[in-house]
Amino acid sequence: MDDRDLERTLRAGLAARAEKTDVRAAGRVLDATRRAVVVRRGRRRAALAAAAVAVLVGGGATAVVVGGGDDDPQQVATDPTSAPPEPAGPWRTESWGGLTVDVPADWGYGGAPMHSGGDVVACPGAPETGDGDIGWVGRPILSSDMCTVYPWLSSSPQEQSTTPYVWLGAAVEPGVVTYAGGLVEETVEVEGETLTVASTDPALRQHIIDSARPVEECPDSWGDTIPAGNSGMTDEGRGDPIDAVVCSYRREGNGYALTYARTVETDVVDRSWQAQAAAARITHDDTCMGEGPDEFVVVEARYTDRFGSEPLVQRAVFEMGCAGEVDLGPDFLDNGNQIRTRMTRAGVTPWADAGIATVVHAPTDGQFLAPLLIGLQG
Amino acid sequence: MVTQAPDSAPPEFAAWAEARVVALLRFAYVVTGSQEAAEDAVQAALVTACEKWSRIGRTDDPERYVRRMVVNGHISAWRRVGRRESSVAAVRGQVAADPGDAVARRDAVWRMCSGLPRQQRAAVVLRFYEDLDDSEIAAVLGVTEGTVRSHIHRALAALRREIDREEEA
Repeated sequence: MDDRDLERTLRAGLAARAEKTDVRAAGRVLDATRRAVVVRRGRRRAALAAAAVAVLVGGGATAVVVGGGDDDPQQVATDPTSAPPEPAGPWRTESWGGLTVDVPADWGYGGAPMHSGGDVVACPGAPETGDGDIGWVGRPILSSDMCTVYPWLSSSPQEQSTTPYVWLGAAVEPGVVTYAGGLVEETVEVEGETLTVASTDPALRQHIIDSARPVEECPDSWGDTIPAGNSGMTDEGRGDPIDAVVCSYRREGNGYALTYARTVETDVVDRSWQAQAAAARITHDDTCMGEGPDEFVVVEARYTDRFGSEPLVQRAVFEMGCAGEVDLGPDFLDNGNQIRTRMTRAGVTPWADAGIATVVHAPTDGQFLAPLLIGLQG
Repeated sequence: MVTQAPDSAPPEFAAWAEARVVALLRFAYVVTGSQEAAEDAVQAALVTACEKWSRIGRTDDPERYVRRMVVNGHISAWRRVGRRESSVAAVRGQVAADPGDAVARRDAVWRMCSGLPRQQRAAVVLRFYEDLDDSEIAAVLGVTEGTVRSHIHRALAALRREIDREEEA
């Protein structure tokens, strides 16, 4: 039997075996899929809108009652014995590019492996905010001048560490690595990004990997354009708040890609917008010799319009170029006049949380913002 | 990476899943080697696909994307249990009466596949059931093309030994 015959035998053997599949299971699989999707949606909505969800427990079975949603039944019974044990919350979301995952809410932030000058390094290769023993979320961003070569050198502290972490978009090949200290690092590709989860707890790793989904809070990219600012104001004023987000982007190739996303209260956006409106106006083009910034942050809130169908959008766009400028859009009182102001601490402080401090670089001429954003020296 | 098919509305997920679930089950069965594991793998892949359907449904070939999830889910499940499960080296005691019989050879294929590690078995299925080339299989499994070639070479060698053993018997 030559190789060609052998391959033919293999093809025929696999095809014949496939015919022995019990396809009567198809209906069962589809039913189970529908139930699982509904339960997952219920869990996600529970996290987003706890007031809309009530969990009733009784008789050894759990029923999830989901309010709202046209495509979901009002009540779905699930078998508690079939559900895998879930690590305890609470959780927060972390995003990078088109990817969002859930991570424990008390984890800090740090770096993640990235390509740099022919090497792969993490800067830093450890948590730089939060409690270092709890866990951290890392992105492939130069946020410190303390870099560690990846893969970790043998006998390095990282080889022995048991602190869990999640890396988003790291320069790590998919696969599993088990470290001397017992930490298991699993990397998968999802939503066009690498997702690396390291923990000694397999349930935690799986929960985080299973939570991977397309980013929802912010656009994953703005292409090669930077969005314009806007006051979101009308003669009649704004209606009720709908939602608010902080979304940061950095230049990737010919466009800008998402590096961080966070939902915030609408008053965070308004305080930032008002502070920047009060800052010094920029009346001439003093950007970096005409080049756009490498990073920008969109701080945006939406409100209902009492006299219109489309939401009103209040948006400040922080452009991290040389000087640091903020686009607030057309002047409400003088529509032909665009408001651009010098970036200030009062404008940045409302939204610069611990995550932003490890993701967004301060403008070159705005190093006074370094405690809030990444400075020249990390 | 998901490639987008521009200007085309994605098929409705429920209708798509109903039309393709049988083919997915057959594929999962030869990948996993078990009816129960196949059902679990297909269900898990369909749940994920449903949640991301706005994106997956617009790809050139949604089914290929879902089959990839079946494979990766099966291999990841193996990793999650810490490799406690070990594959059998070979399944004995089922030597066919007539070694030249096509049925006997198909059984030999299945015995050989049953003895392969999961990733190697997945490579074999993707090559000889799905007709993917080395680069496509490498992308699905997250390994190099050299590893794929090694998997295929070893599987064919194992099949040849299995058939030779039958003929000797």
